[in-house]
This record gives sequence, C-alpha cells and structure tokens, in this order.
Amino acid sequence: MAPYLWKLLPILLVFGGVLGIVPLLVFLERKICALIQDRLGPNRVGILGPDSPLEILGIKTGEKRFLGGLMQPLADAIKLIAKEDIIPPHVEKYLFEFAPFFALLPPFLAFAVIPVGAPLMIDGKEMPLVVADVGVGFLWILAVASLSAYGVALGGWASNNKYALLGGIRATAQMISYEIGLGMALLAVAMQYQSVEPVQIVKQQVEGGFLGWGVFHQPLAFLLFTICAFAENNRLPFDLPECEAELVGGYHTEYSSMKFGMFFQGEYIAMLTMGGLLATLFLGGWHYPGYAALSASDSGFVQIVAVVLSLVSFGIKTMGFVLFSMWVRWTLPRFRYDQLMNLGWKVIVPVALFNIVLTAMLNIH
Amino acid sequence: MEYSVQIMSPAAHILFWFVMVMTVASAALVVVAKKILHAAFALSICFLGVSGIYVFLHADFLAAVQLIVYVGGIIVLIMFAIMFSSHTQEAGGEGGRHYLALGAGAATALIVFTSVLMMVGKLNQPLAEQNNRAYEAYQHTVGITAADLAAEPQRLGLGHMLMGEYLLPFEVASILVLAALLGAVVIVRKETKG
Amino acid sequence: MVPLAEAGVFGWLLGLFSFKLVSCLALAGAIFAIGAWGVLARRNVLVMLISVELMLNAVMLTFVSFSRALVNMGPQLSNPYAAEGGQIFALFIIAIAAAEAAVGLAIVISYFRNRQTVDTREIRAMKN
Repeated sequence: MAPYLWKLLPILLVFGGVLGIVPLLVFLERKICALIQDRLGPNRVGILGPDSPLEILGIKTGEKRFLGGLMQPLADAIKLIAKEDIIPPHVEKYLFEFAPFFALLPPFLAFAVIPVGAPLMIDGKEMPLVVADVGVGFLWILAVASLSAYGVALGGWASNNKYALLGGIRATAQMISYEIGLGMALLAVAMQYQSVEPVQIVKQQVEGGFLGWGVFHQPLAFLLFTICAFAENNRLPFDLPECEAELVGGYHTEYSSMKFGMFFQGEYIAMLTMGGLLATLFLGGWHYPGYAALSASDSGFVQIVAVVLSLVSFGIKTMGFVLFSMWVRWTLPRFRYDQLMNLGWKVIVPVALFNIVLTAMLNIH
Repeated sequence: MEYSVQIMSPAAHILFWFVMVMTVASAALVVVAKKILHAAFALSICFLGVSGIYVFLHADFLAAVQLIVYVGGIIVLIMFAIMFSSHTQEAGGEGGRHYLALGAGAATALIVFTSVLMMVGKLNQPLAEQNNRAYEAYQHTVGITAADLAAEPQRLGLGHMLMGEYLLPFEVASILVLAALLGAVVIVRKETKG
Repeated sequence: MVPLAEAGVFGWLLGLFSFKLVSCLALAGAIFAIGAWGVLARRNVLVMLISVELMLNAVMLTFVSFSRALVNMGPQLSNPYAAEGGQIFALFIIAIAAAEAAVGLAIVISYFRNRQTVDTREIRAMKN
C-alpha cells in the first residue's frame, strides 16, 4: 500500500472513533445519572423487544426487552434531525446560523495532534498513529480551544435574548480565565519533558515505563489541568453558562433541532478531547505496562496485538476521564460565579506559577 | 525564481490564494459591516487567515501565538467590550456622512496600497546581499569576529533568541504588559466609597 | 515571468498566482490599507481600535515574510539572526498589541459608562 494511504488510518480511527462514541456517551451519561441519583434512566428502546428499531420496521422480536435504553441515542438523533429548525424572528440571522459550527469544530480539530496508539512500523519507518504531528504540539490544542469560546459567545449574542446573552458572557469570561490556568499548567509539563509535541512527550513516558507517567512527575499540574478542563468544557461544577435554574438554558436557549444537537455534540467531543489530552500528557498516552515486552517480539502478529492493545489502553484512559466528569457532574452542586472567578484567578493561577518555579528548580541540570 | 519563498504543490498554491482572498475579504468586511459585532467577527476570520499565511511562511509558533493571543484573547476582549457598550439592534448609525467618509477613506487606502505595491516592485536587489552588507556593518561596530560566528549554530531557535540577544526587550515588554494589565484594571474599576 | 507559449495556460496561471514573497507583501499592504480605511472612515471608537489591530497585523506579516525570504536565501546568508529575527519582532508586536487593546478597551468601557456613547463625534469633553 502507498504510504499516504497509511496516513488515512489515524484519520479514520480518530474521527470515526470520536463520532461513533458520542451517542454512547449520551447514553452513559443518562445511565450514570440514574445510578447516582437513584432514578431509572432510559430503559425502553432496546435492541430487541417492544419499542426496538426492529419492531418499528415490523419485525416481531418477542415480549421481553433486551438491553433496554441502548437504542435511545439513535431515537434521539432521529428526533433531532427530523425536528423543525425554528429560527426565531428576533435573532441575528447570520451569526445565529454560524455559531453552532464554532461549537462543534474546535474540539474535533484539537484531537488531531493527540497520538491515539503505538507507532506502526511501515517499510522500516515508524509512523505515529496521529492525524497531524505538528511542531507546535499542544499549543495547537490551546489555540483551537480558544476558538470554542466563539461558538458560545456568538450563540448567546445572536439569540438576542437576555438569558442567552448572560450565558454567553459568562461562558466567555469563564473560558478565557481558565485558559490561562490551563496554559500555565501545561507550561510546567513542557518544561518537564522539554518538548511541546505530544508524540515526543508520550515517547519519553513510554521509555520511563509505568513510573514514567506524567502524573508521577507533575502531580500538581495534573490536578490543575483536571480542574481547568472541567471549566473549559463548561461542565458541572462550573456549568454557570447553562445553569438551568437561573438562565433557562444559557447560550443555547433559542436553538432547536440539529443546531442544538451540534452544541450538544460539541460538549461531548470537547470532553473526549480533554480526556485524550489528559491521558497523553499525564497518563502515558497509549502506553500500558507490558508494552515493551510485546513490541520487542519478533512475530508480526504479536506486534500488531501490541498496537491494538495500545489503542484500547488509550480508549480506557480517555473514557476514564469522561466517566469521572460524569460522576462529578451528578454529585457536586454548582459554584457561584464569584467563587468560580476567585478559584480561577486567586488559586489556580498562583498555584500554577508556583508549580512552574518548582519544576524549574527540580530540573536544573 | 529569485523571491520564490518555497517549492509547493499546485494544490498548496490554490489553498494559499484561497486563504489570501478570505483574509482580504474579511478585512474589508470589518470596515463596511453595519453592526460592530459583525466587524469583530470578521476581524477574527481575518486573523485566522493571517495565521494561515504564517504557516505557509514556516512560522508555526507565531501562527499558534496569533491564534491564542489575537483570536482567542484580544478579539474576545473586544467582543466583550462591544457587548457591554452597545445594544444589539444598534446599527452603525453614522448618519448621512457615512458614505462620504467611506468613499474618502477608501480613496486614501487605495493610495496607500498603490504606494506599497510600488515599493514592493522596487525589490530588485537580492535580499541576502543587502542583509549581509548590513550585518557586516553591524559586526564592525560590535566587534564580533568570523570565528565567533562559526562557533554558533547557523539558525537559532526563537526561544534562544528571546533569552539571549533579545533578553532586554523581552523583559521591557513584560513590564509593559504588566503595567497595561494594572492600568486597565484601575481604569475600569467602579469607584467604591470609603 | 515565463511566457505563456512556453508554460501553457495552467503553468502560466500557476506562475502568476504562485506563493511568493511579493504576494505576501501585497497582502500585507492590502490589509494595512484596509485598516487605514477603517480608521479614517468609521466614527465608532471600537471599530477604529479594530482597524488599528488590522494595521498592526499587516506590519507583522511584512516582518515574517521578509524573514522567511531571508532564510530561503540559504547559504548566501551569513547572518544567523536574520533567520528568525522577523518573527521576534512579530512576537513583540503581539505583546504590545495586547497591552494596547487592554488599555484601549478599558478606556472605551469607562467612557461608555459615564457618557453612554462610543462615537468620536460625541467624544469632545476635552475640546476647548
């Protein structure tokens, strides 16, 4: 196969994987919510039995439900696509149409620099499983993440509705504030590994083995990054921009149909991207204990198994962060806005600065 | 070709022209847009285009900084100011003078653009030659010898330059930014009693 | 410029519209001119600030294109600082533009709070 065809493999893996997993995340979110708050969650539309898609097509599949609720995301997707797309008369039309794209695209683009698996050996050359191995590394992620503030700000403004506008303003202020903390936490990581390229950072962690994982070298940065990731994604306990209790629905109050769906999807993809970045920088990326032994094998089959296992390992770590954020969402109450800003500017930024100085002192050669 | 910057595939040339047209068009939209927020949004598209051009010029780090600081920072700040200082439905509202001013400004801009083009057309002497001559003069004044130069790597990274040759400007710029930060906070702060 | 007869239509067009130092400089000139247009023609302080940002960006683009052109000269080049010197200038311009935007916007917001306008024709408290 031509080498450029192999370049398509990571693209398919990343974008197919991310898009495919979003409906599953929606289902998981609702099931976990039900588990934590002692509710039922989606339990009707299953693979077999009454209400299943097969039943709708006219195939009788028995009386008993099988995996009830698993097909709910499919039903939701059909509903979102088929629903009437209402554009209220008082909105600013162009920006209103444009904002959802800014909510959906940036997290997708950010995923492009994250290596999702162990490098493949093709014609004696190593090919990292990453869409774009760019020189600026995770600065690209910071750059693109800053674009996602536009979706929220423009959506809130264009809706021409005071709740949406308040949500938009809150979200923008929150995102720029926490971006500073995020950037400073990542700066310490860059100093630790003397590189900003995710592929290089993962390589160094793999060479260090299990104890080489970033979380053991940069525990403070790990903590700061996790907090900032929650705030960047506008998830509880920092979901002030949506805040149903005060702001109806925040910036997407006026959106309906698939435009709302794009905001919704964007949120989940952003969670996946942050999870992927966290795994890459702090949890060894695709590395798993025992990789060195497997990849040293002569057999081509075992080497392929090593690569497949690395994909699985990366997926588990990313999903771990996503599940953790769902757990937090349904457990903790919401911050007040001044508390949010105090945390961002008076706690996270100073601690991140301290961490930078500490890293510099510990790494003097 | 003397000034050809690099060898690229035809597709890359087409992409470059697409980015260029997008940049100029959105820059023009900044000026003619009726609503101020549209102007700010067009500005962000324009800066996206400029950072794309930086990538073509192999200035990747600068492209990332442009995105982080300009598109993600300054323009969002400008949007903030717009949201605080105007009402949604307020148009440009610049009265009857509007078209006259736009026309006069456009004429001036055209003159500026033409003169820039004429200057660019005068780029006859190879750039490297000029640069080398300037650098020889500089060496003469500072007293760097050819041996010193040979010891240095031919291309220094941006970080090394910021922390070496340009350390003083770097520190001055950081003090300037700090002063601006404090100044901005002091200016917008509401006066409190007592 | 290669003659049309030699290069064929496609090659000629490619030569005309290829990525060159000159095209980058022309782009920078165009952005600068548009920025100047905005400052001259519009009377809203915020739009004028935005136009100033455009002009700053045009200058940065000029610096970066020249520095890239110098790198491309390759072995002819004896100055090690020429390679990324233009980018250093651009970085400083970005830092100063950020400071300028912060202070400028702070002034605009506090003025709007006192006078409820951002139109330069209304801003004349300091006149006479």
